[in-house]
Amino acid sequence: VPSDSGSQAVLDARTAVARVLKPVVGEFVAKTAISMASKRIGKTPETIELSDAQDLATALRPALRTLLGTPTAEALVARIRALGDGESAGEVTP
Amino acid sequence: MIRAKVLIRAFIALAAIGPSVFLLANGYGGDDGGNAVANGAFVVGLLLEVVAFLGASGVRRDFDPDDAWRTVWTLIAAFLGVRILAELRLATLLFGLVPFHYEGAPTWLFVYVVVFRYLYTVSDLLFLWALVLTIRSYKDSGFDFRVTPRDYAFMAPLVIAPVIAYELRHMLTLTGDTYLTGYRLVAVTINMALACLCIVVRRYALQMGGGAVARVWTAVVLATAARVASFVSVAVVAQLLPTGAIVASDFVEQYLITIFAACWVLAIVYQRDVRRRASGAPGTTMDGSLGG
Repeated sequence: VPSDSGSQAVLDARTAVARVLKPVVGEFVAKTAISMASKRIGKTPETIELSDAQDLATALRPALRTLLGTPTAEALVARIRALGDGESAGEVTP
Repeated sequence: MIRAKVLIRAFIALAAIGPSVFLLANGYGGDDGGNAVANGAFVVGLLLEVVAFLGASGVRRDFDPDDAWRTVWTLIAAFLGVRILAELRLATLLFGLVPFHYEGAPTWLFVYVVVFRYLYTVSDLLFLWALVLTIRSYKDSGFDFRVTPRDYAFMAPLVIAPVIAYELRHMLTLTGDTYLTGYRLVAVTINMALACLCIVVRRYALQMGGGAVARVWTAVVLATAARVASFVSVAVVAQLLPTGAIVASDFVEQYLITIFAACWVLAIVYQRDVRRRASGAPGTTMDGSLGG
């Protein structure tokens, strides 16, 4: 998700990851997952950027695998990784 | 493709017209009319259980062999499969293909009617195991899922339900079948344990704050609630309607079992939707792959 300002980029990274997770695991788990994964890569949800998508996806993988099973977790991980490549998170019907 | 919303509407419509059809049939056709509707509800429920079983068998194959969720869905498929066997046994009795057990009946009939009734118990134990593994998977995920004091407050009356059922055991069957009373006491106890575990799962689903996974387990919880209610209904209907209570009790039981089966079909549709949403596809749909 492109942006001109740094703060907008931070907001977009968090929102973009949440947009991938929320339709599957729900709002609260998505929020907690982003918070946990951010900590694991040495950041906070407020400071993550789209360039962290690869690390964030790797950090999220174990919890998502336990919660959803490997195939579903891997599908989500792949989509979060794709965010770092500048691809869209994809619109999902609520 | 059938949208889940369409499916829900169809189920709600069926649930709404079911009691009216029964009352009309019972009013105009007497016990025979009422029985016909109760048996019809049984057949619809059985068909839905077959659909749910095929769907659950397909869902389990969606997981990797070493996934805990594969074990959970294998147990759920086994639970539904064993239930279908139990229901087919009941069908042979309801439709007069095999006589009901009577004093002095041959041993095979005793085994078929009385012992095989416990296939339901076996299936419930499989589901109990699946729920325990589900709760463990949620806890192991590292997210802070917690049971609240409110949940324990809901569980408290459930825990004493088997004691109440024992006290009201003469109400658990209206046909004087003492073997059925014993089975129902066992079933009430196991179903109360299932209900308590479902309260835990429901709490976790609520704590997710929506999402496709929460919908799956909400449907499972509703299915279990309908199953538990089917047992309670036998005693309640017997107390409310002392005359003609057998046919009314049969209908209510079968009606709730049909709701149970419908909720399982929905749970399978929602579970399919989890994978669909994870890959970024829109919408909640049920396609021809439901059966795996």
